Amino acid sequence: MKGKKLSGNIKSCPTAAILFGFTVVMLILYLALPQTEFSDAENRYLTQRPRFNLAGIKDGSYMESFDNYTKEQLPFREFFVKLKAVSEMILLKKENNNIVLGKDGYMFEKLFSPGKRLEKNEECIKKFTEDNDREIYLLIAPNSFEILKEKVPEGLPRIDEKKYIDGFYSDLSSKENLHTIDVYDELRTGSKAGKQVFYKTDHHWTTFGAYLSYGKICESMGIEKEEYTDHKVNLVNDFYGTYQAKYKSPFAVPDTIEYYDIKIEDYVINGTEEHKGLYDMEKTEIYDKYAMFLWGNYGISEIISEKTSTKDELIVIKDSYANCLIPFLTGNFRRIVIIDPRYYGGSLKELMEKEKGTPVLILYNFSNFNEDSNIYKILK
Amino acid sequence: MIFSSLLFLFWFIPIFFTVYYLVPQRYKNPVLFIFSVIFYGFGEPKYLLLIFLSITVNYFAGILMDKTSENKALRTTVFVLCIVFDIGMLMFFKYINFFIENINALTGLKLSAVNITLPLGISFYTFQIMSYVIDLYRGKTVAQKSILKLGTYLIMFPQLIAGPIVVYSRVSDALDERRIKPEEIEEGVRIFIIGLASKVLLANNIGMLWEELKTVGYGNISTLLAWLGALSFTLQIYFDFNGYSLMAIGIGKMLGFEFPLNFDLPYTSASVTEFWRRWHITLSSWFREYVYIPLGGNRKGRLRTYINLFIVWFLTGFWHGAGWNFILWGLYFFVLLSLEKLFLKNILIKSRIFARLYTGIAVIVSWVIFAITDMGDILKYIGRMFSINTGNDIVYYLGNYAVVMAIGCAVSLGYVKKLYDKVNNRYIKMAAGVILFVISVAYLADEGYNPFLYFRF
Repeated sequence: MKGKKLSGNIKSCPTAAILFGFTVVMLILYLALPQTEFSDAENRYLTQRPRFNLAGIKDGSYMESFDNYTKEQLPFREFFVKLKAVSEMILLKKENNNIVLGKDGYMFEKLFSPGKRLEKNEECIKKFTEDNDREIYLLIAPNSFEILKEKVPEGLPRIDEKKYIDGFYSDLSSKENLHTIDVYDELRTGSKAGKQVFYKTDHHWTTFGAYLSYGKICESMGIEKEEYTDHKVNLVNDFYGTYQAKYKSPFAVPDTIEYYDIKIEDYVINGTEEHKGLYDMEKTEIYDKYAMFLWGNYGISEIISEKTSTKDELIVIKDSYANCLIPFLTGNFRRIVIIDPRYYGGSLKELMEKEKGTPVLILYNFSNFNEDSNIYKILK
Repeated sequence: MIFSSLLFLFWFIPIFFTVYYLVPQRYKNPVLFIFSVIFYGFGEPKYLLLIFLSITVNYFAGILMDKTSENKALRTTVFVLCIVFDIGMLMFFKYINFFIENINALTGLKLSAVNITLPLGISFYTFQIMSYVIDLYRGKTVAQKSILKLGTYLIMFPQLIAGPIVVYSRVSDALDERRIKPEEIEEGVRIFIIGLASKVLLANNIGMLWEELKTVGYGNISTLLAWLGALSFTLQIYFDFNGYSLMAIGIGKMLGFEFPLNFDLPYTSASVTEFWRRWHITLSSWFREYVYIPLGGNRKGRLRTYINLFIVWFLTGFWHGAGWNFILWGLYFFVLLSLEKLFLKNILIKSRIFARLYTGIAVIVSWVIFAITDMGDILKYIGRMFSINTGNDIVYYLGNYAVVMAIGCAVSLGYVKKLYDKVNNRYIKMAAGVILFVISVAYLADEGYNPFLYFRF
């Protein structure tokens, strides 16, 4: 293509000239544009252009990171990603990146069959119950596609979560110190009454969904449910959650996060980081707004509530579904220790010995319980 | 590295072609060689040695055969040793664990599996290099005196990992000298884009349905969904495989090589015999040229013809992967082709509609055997297709895939090509190319599913 007859040659291969020019410009932009370090929308660090190194070439890690780098630092990536989402819509696809768009702007994940971890995790819970002589409360929360069946597109195969949760609960019914908490009916009724119990663009339940479940926890524990109707409710608007992060619809309807003014004495994360409130208001400014609850997910954290009238304590072993529910429990307990096994490096056995007799609430959502590979840590 | 990646499109292409077009003629082969090493080494650095070894052995075998043309026995010995080496490498790296597994199952021995992964493209480049030594032995081509040229032929990145299988004699002249014309570059770019779009927009998109049925569970799907799923794999494998071939052919043109057509609208066939004349043409011609005809073809009587066919189709199946399902898949075609030879072709000729329907069903079922490695699962899936299973799952999947699969059908049946050929306006063709390219980039930017299907080949 180069040489004296360049212009004549280009006329004979216009597509080639345009596209070759395009690839050259893209390469220059890769090199010239500053690299993005952290993607808010995807809530993860992006691969940087790797440094040339022989060891990395030998074991292939250099090539692998380079490949990832070209994907994650693609110039105009946002534009291309949106273009794909629009193209999928034109093709009348109801899903993108495995997230399904249902009725009324609700997005759902796809879950067809029990995961490899489900049985193992169930065994862990059984063993934990046998090992620990104390009251244990177990809440496996159904996911939105189970509760909002009517909003799921017709014909989409999905796992019967209720069947699995019920089956697991009845397996455990012989354990005297274990109390299973079934929130299915509560959430269904709430939803049928027109309340929003799950977010449209996120995999979590809403604060209201969590509140309904809190009611069932109180029932099971035999404690008095605090009415939060007298608390002031605050709103965080324009929340796009994890489903939208994958689906990337240009037309997604944003959610609104509700949170109550609940005062506490102290909140300590990982034994060092101290806060005077339950919510991290800075998170309301970023993409992952749900992370405002309890300041995010941490291995171990501890709340001292303002409820000086009681000495009751509680240990919560949980995933992120619990983050918007735990604030309600501060009305019933003076001290709450929160463990997220995914991030906890310490020994739970030791902790349990130290906290003799303190009741435990285990709270997971089904989809995560089905797959999580950290639950075994509750036995370590 | 694979073609359908941003790494290839925005790093490899601009750098490689700038260098390749700028250097004088005599440096084009070295440049192509070096960049091909980088291309292959990006994914499988350790198996570069294997290709180098293959180049060296076959190169010296060629030289020796050239030098020993007077001494027939010696020449034949060199030839046989070289073929044993080529096939031996393929056997070892591709099939050793399959053999070990089956010997264990058969005899109760407990031989442990060898810890190797299949070297990318070994089935393709082994067949390519064998075409060189066999043609040389038969006097159909002359020995390549330059190891660089032979090496460039073998490791050349366009067709290295997924075909088409380019026999040596086809490109031997171009290895010495090739003129690169702008019209050819333009044509090459167009073919490349069609290949890229086939792979990224159609194959990946449609293939997700097939992939999903694995997690839904074959036992849970309705009859209609089973057919839709099988059809989705039928389209996926075509667009994926043909997409790769087109990309290779397109790049070949940009480099100054003329690679053979690999797929000629196979889904328009009216018999399985015709299907195999149109599907993966370079592989079937390879088997015909280097196995079937040397065995005697159809010239040694009826029985020998069918025995030869059996051998060829057993090998064809086995070539596609070290698994019983691939052998079964090959033999399935042996049976159908034999039946057609025996009597079926006379019936097929009478009704084109029946012929198309029969071929369609035969091919779709063949892909189920091809795509599922477990024998029990194959039976389960085909059972699902040929029994009545109700369910509303089809509603969701049809809604989701109807448009893209309809486009896939229209393209694979040749309607879109007809339309494209009617367009005379070069600006429209240019715009179509650019748009397809940009959308393909969009799908690569946000890829959920972009498999490389030939890692077993």
